[in-house]
Amino acid sequence: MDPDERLSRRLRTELGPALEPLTLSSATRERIVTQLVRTAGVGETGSSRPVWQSWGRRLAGAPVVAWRRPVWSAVGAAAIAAAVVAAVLVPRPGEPQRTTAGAARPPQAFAQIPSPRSPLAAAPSSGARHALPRGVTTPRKRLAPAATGGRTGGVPCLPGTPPARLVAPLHRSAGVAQPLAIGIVVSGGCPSQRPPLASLQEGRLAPVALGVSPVPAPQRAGGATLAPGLARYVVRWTGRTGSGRPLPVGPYQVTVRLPGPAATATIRVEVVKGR
Amino acid sequence: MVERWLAQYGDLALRTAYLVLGERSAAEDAVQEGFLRAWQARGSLRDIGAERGWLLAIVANAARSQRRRRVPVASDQEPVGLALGPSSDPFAALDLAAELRVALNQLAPDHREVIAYRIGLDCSVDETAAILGVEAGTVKSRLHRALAELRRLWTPTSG
Repeated sequence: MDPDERLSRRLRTELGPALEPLTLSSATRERIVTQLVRTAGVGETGSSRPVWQSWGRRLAGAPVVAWRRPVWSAVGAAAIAAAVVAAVLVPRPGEPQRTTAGAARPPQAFAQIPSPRSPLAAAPSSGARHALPRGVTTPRKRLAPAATGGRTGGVPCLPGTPPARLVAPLHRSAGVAQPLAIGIVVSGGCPSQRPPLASLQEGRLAPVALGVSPVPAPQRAGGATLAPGLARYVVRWTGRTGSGRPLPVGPYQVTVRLPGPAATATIRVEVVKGR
Repeated sequence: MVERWLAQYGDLALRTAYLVLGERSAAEDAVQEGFLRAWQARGSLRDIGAERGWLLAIVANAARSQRRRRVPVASDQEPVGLALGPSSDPFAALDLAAELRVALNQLAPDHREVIAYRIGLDCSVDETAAILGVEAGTVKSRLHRALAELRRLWTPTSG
C-alpha cells in the first residue's frame, strides 16, 4: 500500500471518531431554521423547490428564474429612493422655499417623512394609494440621530418596511465575571421607533438590563459596509448580576427587544470557566 | 430546502466551521450564517452533484469571515464581535492522542487544514478544493507534502 494511503487510513481512524461528537443538536437546528425563516424569509415563498430545478434553467442552462428577485429589488429600491428624494426636496406649504441648493434650509442630516398635506401625499400615484392601508398616516417628526444606529443618518419609516429581525449571533460564550460585548446586526424595522433593549435572564435571577449602543458607521471594525436597512449595535454586559455578583457557570438567555412592535430575539450566552 | 441541508450536511458543516474557528458556539453561528448565504446564493449552484462541496465552502468562508471579525480592534473603536479570540488549536477539545495533536499543531496551517478536511472529514478532492479555495491539483500536492511532514513528526502507535 502507498505510504500516504497507509498514513491516511491511520489518521482517518483517529480524526474521524474525534470529530464525530461535533453534531448539531435538534434545538440548534430548530433555532437555525427559525432564524433563517425570520432573516431570509425562507419558507415564506410557498415553495422549497430550488430555482435550479426549474424547467427553463434545466433546458437552457441559464438562470432564467433568478432574474426576478434582483429586478424587483432594483425597482423597489428605485421607487423608495425616488420617494425619499421627493420628500426631502419638495417643500411643504408654509415652509420657506429653497433658493439655492440647500441654502434656505438649515443643515439637515435626516430625511423627512412626507406629511399627509405634502404634495406627495396629496396626489399619490395609484400604486402608492394601494400601498397605504386605510387609516395609516406617516409620522411627521424627524428621526432621532441616535436611534438610527448612526448608519445612514436617517432611514425613513416607510409603509411596508419589514419588521426588525436580529441577524446573528445565536450563541456566545464568556468567562465567569468577564465583560462581554456582542456585536449584533438588526435588519428591517424602523430605528426611530425605539432602539434595541437587551436583558439577561435565568430562572430565579432578576433580569439584568444590558447596555445597547449603536455603532456609528465610521467606527465599524474592518470598514465593512452594511447593506441598506441594516444597523449595527453592541450589547454589553459586565459579566455580573445587577448586584455585582458573578453569575455561576451555565447557559443564559439574552433577550433583545428590537425596534418595532413586540419584536424580540434571544441569544444564548454560555458562561464557562477558564477564560 | 434548508431543513434538508441541515439534515444532510448540518453536522459536517459544523465540523467544517469548527476546524476554522476552534470553538463550538462560534462554529454554530458560522453554520447559520453560511446557510443563510447559501440560501441567498442558491441560484449560483449549477451542478446539484456538487451541492455538498458548494455548501461547505460557503460555511467555511462564513467561518473565516467570523474569524477575521473577531480580531481585536483598536481601543478607540467599538468591538463588533465578542472580544474573545478563537482557539489557536482546533484539535484541543477533540479526543485525540496527545502525540498526534502535538504533531498536527506543528504542521503549517495549510497542511493542517488539508489533512483535517480531506482525511478528518473525508471530503473529496474537489470538495476540499472548494472549501480551501484552491485547485484540485493543489489539494493533492499539498496533502502529499502534509503527510510527508506528519510522517516525520508522528509515529502511529499500534492500532
